[in-house]
Amino acid sequence: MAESNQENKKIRGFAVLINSILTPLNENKRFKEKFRNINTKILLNASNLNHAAIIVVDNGLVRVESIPNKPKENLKKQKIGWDAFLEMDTQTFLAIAMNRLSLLGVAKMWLTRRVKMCGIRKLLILLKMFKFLTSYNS
Amino acid sequence: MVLEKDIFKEFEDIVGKGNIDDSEVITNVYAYNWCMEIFNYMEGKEPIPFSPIPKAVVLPSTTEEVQKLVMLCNKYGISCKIQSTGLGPWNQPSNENCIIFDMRRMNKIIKIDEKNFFAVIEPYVSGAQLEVEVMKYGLLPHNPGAGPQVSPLASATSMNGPGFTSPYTGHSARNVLGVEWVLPDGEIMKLGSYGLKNNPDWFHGDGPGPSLRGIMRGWAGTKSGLGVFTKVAVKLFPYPCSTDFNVKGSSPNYDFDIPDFMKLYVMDCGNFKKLENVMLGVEEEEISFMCSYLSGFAVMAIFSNSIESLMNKIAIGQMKAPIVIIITARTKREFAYKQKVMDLILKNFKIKNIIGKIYTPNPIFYAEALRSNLGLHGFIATGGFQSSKGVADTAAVCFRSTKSNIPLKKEFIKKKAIVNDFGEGTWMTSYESGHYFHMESPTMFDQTEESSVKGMAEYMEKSNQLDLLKHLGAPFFVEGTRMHELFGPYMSNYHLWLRKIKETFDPNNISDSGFYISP
Amino acid sequence: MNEQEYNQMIKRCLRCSICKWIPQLQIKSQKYATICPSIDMFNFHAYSAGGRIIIALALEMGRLKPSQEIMDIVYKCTECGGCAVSCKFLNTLEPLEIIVKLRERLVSLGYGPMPKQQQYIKSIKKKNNPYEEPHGKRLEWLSNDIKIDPNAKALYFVGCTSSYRRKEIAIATARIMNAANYSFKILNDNEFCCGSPILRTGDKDSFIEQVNKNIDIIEKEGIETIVFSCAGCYNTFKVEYPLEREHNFKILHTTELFNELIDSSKLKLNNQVLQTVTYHDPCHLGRNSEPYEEWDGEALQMMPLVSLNMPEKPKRCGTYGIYESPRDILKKIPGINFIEMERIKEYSYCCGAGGGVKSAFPKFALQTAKTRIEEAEDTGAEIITSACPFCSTNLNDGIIEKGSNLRFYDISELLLMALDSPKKSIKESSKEVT
Repeated sequence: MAESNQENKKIRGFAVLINSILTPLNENKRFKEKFRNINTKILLNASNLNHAAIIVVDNGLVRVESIPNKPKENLKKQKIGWDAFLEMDTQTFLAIAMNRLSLLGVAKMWLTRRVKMCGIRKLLILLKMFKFLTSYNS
Repeated sequence: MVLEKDIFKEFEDIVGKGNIDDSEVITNVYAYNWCMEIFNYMEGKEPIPFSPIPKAVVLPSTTEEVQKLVMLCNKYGISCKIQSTGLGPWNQPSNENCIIFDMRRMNKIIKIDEKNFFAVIEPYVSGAQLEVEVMKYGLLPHNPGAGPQVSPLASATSMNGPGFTSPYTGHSARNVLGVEWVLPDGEIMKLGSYGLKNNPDWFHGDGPGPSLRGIMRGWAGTKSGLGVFTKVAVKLFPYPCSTDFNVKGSSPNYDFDIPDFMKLYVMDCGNFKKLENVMLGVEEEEISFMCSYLSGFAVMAIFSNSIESLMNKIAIGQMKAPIVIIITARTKREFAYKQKVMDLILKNFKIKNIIGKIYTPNPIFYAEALRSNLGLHGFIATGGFQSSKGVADTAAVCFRSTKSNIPLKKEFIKKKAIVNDFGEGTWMTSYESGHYFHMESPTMFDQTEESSVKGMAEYMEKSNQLDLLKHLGAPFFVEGTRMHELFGPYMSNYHLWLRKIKETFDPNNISDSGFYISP
Repeated sequence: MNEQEYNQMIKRCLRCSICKWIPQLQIKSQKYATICPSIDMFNFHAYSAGGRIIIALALEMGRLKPSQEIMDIVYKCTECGGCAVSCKFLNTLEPLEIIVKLRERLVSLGYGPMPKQQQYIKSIKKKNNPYEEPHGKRLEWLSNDIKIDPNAKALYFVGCTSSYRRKEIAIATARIMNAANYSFKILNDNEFCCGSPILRTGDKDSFIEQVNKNIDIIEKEGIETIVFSCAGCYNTFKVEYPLEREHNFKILHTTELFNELIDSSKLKLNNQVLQTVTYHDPCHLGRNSEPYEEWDGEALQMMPLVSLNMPEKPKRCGTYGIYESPRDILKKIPGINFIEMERIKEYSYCCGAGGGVKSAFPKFALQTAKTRIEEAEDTGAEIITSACPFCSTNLNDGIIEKGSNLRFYDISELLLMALDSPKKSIKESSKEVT
């Protein structure tokens, strides 16, 4: 039982990448300060890959879990309890993460269904987190 | 095609048994090179990484042997292609009636003149070998961006020559002093003060009489199109910091004792206009050891040794117009001065150094910067890359080239022919503290995918067209008759002069003219 | 490396020639900048790792057909793995594995192993050792004063070279273990060649026979730990055997064991060994001794043409080879002045014997050894030591051929000198059996 729990907890695929990008924020004092009262769960799905990343912010601490993104039911709010959902292909994800796609650009992609999102207010937290990656860690 | 037995014997008599081989296996191996598939496609051939197969490969060990080999080539009308460390398609023969001279056995450092700051080297001395030997005297050579494993002689005499340390060590073309040159007809020419009758030495590259350095290599070198260079004196520079070079740990995760007076700055200038001003401002102060504009992806790459470790640096990839500067000093006072200048520049331009704040690189980065190893990081994304452009001009032209390249590159990114770097993939550096500037567009492609190879070739051709259309200066790959005839009419018909030089110096067209110009 | 990986990788060589040099950042002098003994000797690009990758590609493309000439080039390689360490600093190619697979390909097409290698493979099959020596003589090194414990859980796997050619290493090893009261047994008549000489030639099938034979025997003995004084046998059991058949033995090299025994005061180093000593890292104990790790990740297509492995695939770069244990031992032996050569650890220069080269191309093996001996001489050392009987043989041959004043001792011999009673001279302490 313990082993299968371990197996379940192991993150896979896209989530490993997101984990390597976001968990350094846990060493950022300013981030911890700013996000100390934030608790949220955001699902970030790379539509062209096999696993989605569940980003959990827990009073200023970030952790990432993974979940297979097939069948589609796996990603439903009732199953995961996410507060926000963002789905796009990895190329678009890189463009957003590297600040090469403006909010207008994201909006256009949303209109053409190349980006799917839900819970925009909470998604702004994710955007802030990515911006924090370039803030000074004092 | 193999050499006839008696001709083979004549070549063998010059270099000795075991130093010539015309077997199918050896010659096929020498026909292979990086990016050959692109150039094949450009010439309407099958996009494979093999050039025409040479008739034989020969390994000379002295200038006298080289001279005799060249004369023998003249005798039998066989062309020769000269290879030092051999990286790149410009090392390849353009036809099968060719012998490759592999200069591997000519690997001596002839002289290090620490007082007058030059070293005399043979073709197969690598940049790293030269660097470690001159470091013992507190000196540093210029190494091209291709890496420390390539030949400084080849870069100095026959190839382009920008490097990451170019703000400090200049450009290969400008670092050439005396030269020993076996002309295509077999005559040995000694350029500069090495050609003096009394007390010849290597310290000066021009004269006697008219300077032949321009004819020898001009801007981009002849890529073995005009004889064989058997020795060259290259300028040396004071080693920029402490020569203690302590690399610790095990590959690939080495550690390094960063020299006391060495500091890295990476700043986001936000837009190209500001970047241009910052770059000019820094270079005007003549304080940088390295001063480069690299795209966001490229900055991620120079701090990574794999594509995986690159991807987790997305934070620094967010920079839109990053500048990477290294200052070095030999004394505390010098270092304090340079830091003060940088602080003023940062304050003036309202930019912040992310190093130590947002990102701290592994110390081995500093070792790689000192040893000019950063260019090789360009290969980590897909294993294949090549550069288009290759501007050498003012900063303004370099930035204009960068900007005009973006939409063109995006076209090919959309076609999935080349890697998506948002069109920004550029490396720009200054030469000699802003005397002039270099810009090229490193582009990642997949050499194993035919569609990518074709796309890359088409992108490079269109990029060349763009250079003509927008008056962006001649790029790297203006080489070979087709390209010279394309660009020449826009550039004072230089190609006519080039042809005259070729015909005068190489009447029998013995030096392979594939990457130079045909008579 | 599977077929798909092989076919992909052979198309990706950049012809940068990094495989000919030690890692660029480790170069300290012009003289000792190279890593590949093959191209150092034969000069044509085909004799480098990059050159052999091109041959592999040309064969797949049908540009070349298997031939004696290709055999000659492909087998003139000690499979030292130095090329891989340098290449893999930034690249994801596997030059050594490509060469290994290329040999297997050639063998399957009837172009290999080389004649002398085929001879020793026959000898291994018939007489259980590559030296064509009677199997019955395998235990001749074992003198009466050496204590063996038939009930021990630790096995000393002596290996063919120590049994037949470098008996002093077997003797020294056994005596050291006795001095530490470390219980061990040996396989007596049931010790057979580990198969390393076969594996390196590309004769995979014959190698697998050896694997199964040896594991069957050792498992029956109830062994938990196997101790090796030979780097080749060590590497074969630790790295290569698990690829063919799982086993649960703990694999130890004597340098690891002896270092532990010194640290736990089970070995008392009483005597001074007043010599300046330099250490040669055996390829199979150093850079090639990292086991293959299973990777349980995924390849993620990040964008067209770019995929990455998450988590990153473990890269065998020689990072975790056995480098410190032998050095620690040397530093603990009183009186030894330990001096490093320039090319060490994961970028050590090969002794020249491996990959079947000693048998098939003895002149190449000897020339390489001489190069290494010269590097040792340049340190000012009086003694060159190592931890592999095969390196020992070839380096000794190099010393003789070069007329060098250097002396070679295996690290076990030096350790024994430090353990023995003060009256024994260096000569007496070792080489007691000719």
